[in-house]
Amino acid sequence: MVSSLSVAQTLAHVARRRPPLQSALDVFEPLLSSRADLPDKLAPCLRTAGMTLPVWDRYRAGQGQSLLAGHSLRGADNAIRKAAAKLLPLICALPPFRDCTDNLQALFSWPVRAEENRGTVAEQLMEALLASDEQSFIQLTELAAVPPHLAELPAEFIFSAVLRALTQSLAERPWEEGGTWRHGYCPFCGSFPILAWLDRPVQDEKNAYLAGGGGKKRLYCGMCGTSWHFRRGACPSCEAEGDGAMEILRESGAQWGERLEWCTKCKTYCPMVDLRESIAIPDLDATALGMLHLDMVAHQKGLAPLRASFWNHLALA
Amino acid sequence: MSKTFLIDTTRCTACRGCQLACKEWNDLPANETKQRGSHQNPPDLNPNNYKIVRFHEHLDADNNVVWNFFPDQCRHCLTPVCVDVADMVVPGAFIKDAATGAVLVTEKCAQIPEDALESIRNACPYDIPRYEPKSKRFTKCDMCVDRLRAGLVPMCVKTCPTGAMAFGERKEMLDLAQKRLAAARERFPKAHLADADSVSVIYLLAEEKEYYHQYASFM
Repeated sequence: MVSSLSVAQTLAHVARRRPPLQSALDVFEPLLSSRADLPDKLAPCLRTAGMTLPVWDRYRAGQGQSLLAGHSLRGADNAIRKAAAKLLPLICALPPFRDCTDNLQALFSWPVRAEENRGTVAEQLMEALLASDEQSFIQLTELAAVPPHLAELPAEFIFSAVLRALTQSLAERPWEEGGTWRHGYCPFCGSFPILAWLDRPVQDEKNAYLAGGGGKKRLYCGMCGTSWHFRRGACPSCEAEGDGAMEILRESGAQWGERLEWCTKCKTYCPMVDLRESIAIPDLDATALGMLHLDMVAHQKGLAPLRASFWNHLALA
Repeated sequence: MSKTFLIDTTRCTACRGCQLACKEWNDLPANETKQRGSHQNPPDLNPNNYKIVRFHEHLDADNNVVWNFFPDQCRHCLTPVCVDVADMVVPGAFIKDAATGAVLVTEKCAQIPEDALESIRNACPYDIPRYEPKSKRFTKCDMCVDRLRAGLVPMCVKTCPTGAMAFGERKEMLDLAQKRLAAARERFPKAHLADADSVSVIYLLAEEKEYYHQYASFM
């Protein structure tokens, strides 16, 4: 029952608070806005292709396996092509990708290889990316002569639109059941989060005299758009917790509930935003972009983002 | 887009957290008061209290004591009479903020001549504005418009520990009000929403308005 802000509205709020970020926000806004529009358009493609999701298995989840782990993504090709057609022109407008525009377009529309019965190149590429199968990923990108380090971010961005369309088809979020999923990576696709947020107060209709104060920590997956509960004092990457495990990095003055939490053990960080007092839920991808200034400080301190994104990877490289 | 409060008095325990949070956020000084035999303190709205929790007790049909609480504040009317009346005296002394729907008092208020003060105060159907002679300003709730601009809920809403207060877009609050009303009617058959069509602060009352406060609702 809480309204949500669009990418443009969220970034407009950020720009009002931090005018120096305006030029960086302008670069990435078309990308984020276009991707936000895609899941609704891609969902029919996935339905037509007959793509189904595996059933949530508590035993597998208990062993730390996300829903898509080991699951074939055959049938996603048409949706991937549509997402690539929309997003690649925007991605290839960014300086690092200008020289490999044709190669990237070829990679995501590579014809089916007759000798293989494992799906299209794009489908295999998505499976390799989600499985962190670096060797397969490199082999596939070599087909279109795209340097692997230039293929990774475009691939993630394009596949994320398809994965978000897939999550829309889920009738329920089984990982929300208490204690089912306790890991720092996504229960749906297995990716690390790009953002953490503190939940708003929850009205307990069964208790007439107390409302929850909110503040439960949730992690947000920038790949598939899933969010899930996680322990507030633990590192999502190495799961270290306890005294001194996590430190906080925040700007002086008005902080707008935003900060970075970084792990003293594995030196990774994840931005976090406190939404307990917020009127509306901002777009979480745009919120992560709006914390670019904290990414910069973290970079100077030698910390690594839990998950690389266009802005914290390209802008700071 | 217009913002709206929903105040579900059936969940209010009169902790007065909202009243105090409002004073803290607006940096308002304490009042000197006397024990008058009521927990309602201070006795009425005043330039140092933009919000007070009103107390009312009565006996029901079974001779049980019923204690009703009413967190009273500016209703931020959709068509604010105070703005119209003040405009006839000093245009722009009271304004309605288009972005939030908050009715605000501006610095032009100081130009209002003394003989017009009472007519502006009496224009409010809910008896809300109070006049501060020192600053020559009318005082009342401003919907924490400074917090709204930062994307935060008003201080009273943030503070409410029972969930009696909710705040958000008008449509969302109207939907929530209907849900809460349906739930409240299971316990209180006379429960209703006070003036929901004309104000931005909608009260869910369990009984008729006279069992809360003289100006609890207009209709």
